[in-house]
Amino acid sequence: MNDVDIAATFRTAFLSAESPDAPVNSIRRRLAAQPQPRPRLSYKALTVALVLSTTGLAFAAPQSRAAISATGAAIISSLNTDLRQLMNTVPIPAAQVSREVGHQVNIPTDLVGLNRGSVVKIGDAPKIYRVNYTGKSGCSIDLTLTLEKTVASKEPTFVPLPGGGTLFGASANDMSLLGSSHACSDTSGFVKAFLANQ
Amino acid sequence: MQEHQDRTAIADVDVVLLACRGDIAAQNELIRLVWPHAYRMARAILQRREIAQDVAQDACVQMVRGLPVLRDARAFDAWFIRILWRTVARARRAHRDHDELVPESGQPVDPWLHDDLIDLRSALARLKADFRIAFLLHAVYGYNSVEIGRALGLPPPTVRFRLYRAKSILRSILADQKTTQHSFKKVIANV
Repeated sequence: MNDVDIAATFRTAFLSAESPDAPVNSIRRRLAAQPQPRPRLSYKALTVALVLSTTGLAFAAPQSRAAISATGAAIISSLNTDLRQLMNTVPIPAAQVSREVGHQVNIPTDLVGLNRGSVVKIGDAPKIYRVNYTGKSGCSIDLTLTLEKTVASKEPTFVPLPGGGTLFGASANDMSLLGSSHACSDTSGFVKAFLANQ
Repeated sequence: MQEHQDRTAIADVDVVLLACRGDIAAQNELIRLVWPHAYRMARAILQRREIAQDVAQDACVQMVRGLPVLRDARAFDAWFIRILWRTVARARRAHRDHDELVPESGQPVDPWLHDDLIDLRSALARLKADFRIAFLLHAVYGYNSVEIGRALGLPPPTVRFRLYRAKSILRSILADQKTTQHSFKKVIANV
């Protein structure tokens, strides 16, 4: 008997063998009893969500972390959701911005009850900023630039402030220090704010 | 070694397409279509009827669960066999320590197991399970080594070796049967 005969014989016998009726109801019951699997996400979506979450948590103050955690599921399930809404951005009227100090801008704390780590938006500018210093007289906000624009520039960058005036001294070198100590000495000395949302 | 046999389709593509869209009736029909294949394959590998039924049901459950992510309905057969093989492998591991899977004794239940015919299942049972599934997919479903490799997660050379060994062992087993030719004719005549 050659291989073809063996295979053909098995095939015929196998396919003609009896089998019990399909237990459709039993299978349906099993399906109903098992918990629904979680929806699967693409690797790309997961990567973006992970970067967003990690970045947000790394830069956020403790009080903001809770908000980020609470919205983490929403970030993952809906990556198109506006980050600005998720971060509970506090709008500040441009007129309330009182003074510019280097790359900082001071606003009165009692205006919105800001804390260090709060995310704010000034005027109608598309960017959002994070408060990195709070004191008795007010709080200061980093007015960091969009990362792409700043890093690409080798020269000091002058950027119009959302509230008027010009932001000076923010250079590629400044941005390269993002996450490390910053040369500016009139604040907490730490450039943290970067949540560009153009 | 001959690689190509007549194809045996497990499910109809149209039914698969409807089932993928969440049509309950189509899903039930799909279960009815795949069930005999799932049960027979599980039975051929696991040897025990009740375990085979349980495994086949589990495979059907996983199949229905996974339908929404099946990208190509034409790939259903290989996809389902992969699910079935994983379920079978899990059952083998689960029973390895507690309940050695041995062929059932007693009255034969399938027409291809009648005592007066060559005991094909016992011949198949003498193969290792890894060889058995490869041989079944090749002999019954007409899969070539590449397709079997995809379904079982094996490189094609490994599949070819297993097929070669399976056929060699079966050939020697069947050669020992004096009534081989006569019995095969009776098997086919009874179909």
